[in-house]
Amino acid sequence: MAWMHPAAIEERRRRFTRADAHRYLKPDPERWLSPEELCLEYPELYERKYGRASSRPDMASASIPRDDEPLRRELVAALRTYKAELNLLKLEFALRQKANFNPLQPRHPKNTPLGGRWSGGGVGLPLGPPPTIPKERPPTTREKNIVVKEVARWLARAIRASAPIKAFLIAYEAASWLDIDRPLVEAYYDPPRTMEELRERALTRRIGYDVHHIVEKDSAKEDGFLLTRIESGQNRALIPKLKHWEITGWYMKHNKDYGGLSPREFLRGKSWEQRFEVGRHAMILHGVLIP
Amino acid sequence: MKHLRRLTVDQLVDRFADIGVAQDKATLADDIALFNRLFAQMEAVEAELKARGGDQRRALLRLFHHPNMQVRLTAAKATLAVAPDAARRMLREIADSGWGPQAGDAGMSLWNLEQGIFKPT
Repeated sequence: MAWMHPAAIEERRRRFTRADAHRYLKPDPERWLSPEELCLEYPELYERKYGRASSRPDMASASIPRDDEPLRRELVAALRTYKAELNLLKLEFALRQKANFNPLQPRHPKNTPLGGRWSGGGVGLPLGPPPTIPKERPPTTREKNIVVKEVARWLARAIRASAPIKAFLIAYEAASWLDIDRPLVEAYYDPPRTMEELRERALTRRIGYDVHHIVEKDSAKEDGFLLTRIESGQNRALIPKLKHWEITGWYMKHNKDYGGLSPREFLRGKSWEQRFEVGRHAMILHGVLIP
Repeated sequence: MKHLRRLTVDQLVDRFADIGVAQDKATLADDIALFNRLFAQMEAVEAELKARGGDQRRALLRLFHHPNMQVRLTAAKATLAVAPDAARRMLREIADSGWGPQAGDAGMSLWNLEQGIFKPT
């Protein structure tokens, strides 16, 4: 089964679970509840399986009298909050790792205006407030994509600036309409890969990624290059979809570098090798290819 | 453009920055047609600054501290002919920042300069 984000699984569970689902639960909670949950929800079953809670130091505090229902509920809620926090921490850690977060990177000294922030490589640009994530999916795909791109880019900048992102991640996790686009956001933090890796990955489809033609497909076709060459494994690389959009956008926009033409217009009539060289550099400089 | 001739240098710089911000929004919305129209407007502002006495494109250097990355990027490209060192430094910083999609654009500009494809005038 394909990997699913934990928040997406939780949302589906909430959406498709019947209101009287408790009547359909399996009658053997000791087999599918965690020891902590079992101790709080069914102390008798816990005792039968693990012995007395108080005999285990880590569970001593969880031994609650059965008749203290409000306290038991409070503890179950606390346990669930703790689990949710843990999941957020895991997500934050995974994102920072993917984005090449390096805790050993030198920081500005304490008691300076930038005290504690990473030094080197920054352009001193204020991060700005995080984008607002609407509760409902925006009505059009274009508006939805704007939110997805803003989320991915802001998170990337925040991680790079070592800014706190926990509050933002809570809002990100809570927006269930984003579930389908989470792979796009998370693929955006992929580190650059070698050309061989990217070519090999293009052999299988992955959610959140696109097959990118190093020499642009349509303009090469219009200029008479053979389809077998355009679609060959040498010209196909699997890259994060949002990066693919960035590179394609760069190809289409008018640019001072090319005398006001777009790179696509500039490359018309050029050789395969020239196109390939520009395409390869575009991949390097957009952060998907190791030089 | 006639109406640009009536503007002061400072007003032209502000106009340049406004167009840069609008370009950033167009990029976010994948509205390439709008971006390209804005590009033409920006070129006109730049040409007007260049035509002013002593080539006033240098005034765009103040946009190197603008809070919008697209504005910084376009200001750096527009000042390459008049302040090449500062402009290249700005492009290098943007390219190293990883601030997509401008970082990729700045990196490509540096590469195009090295290759002699981009010849600032």
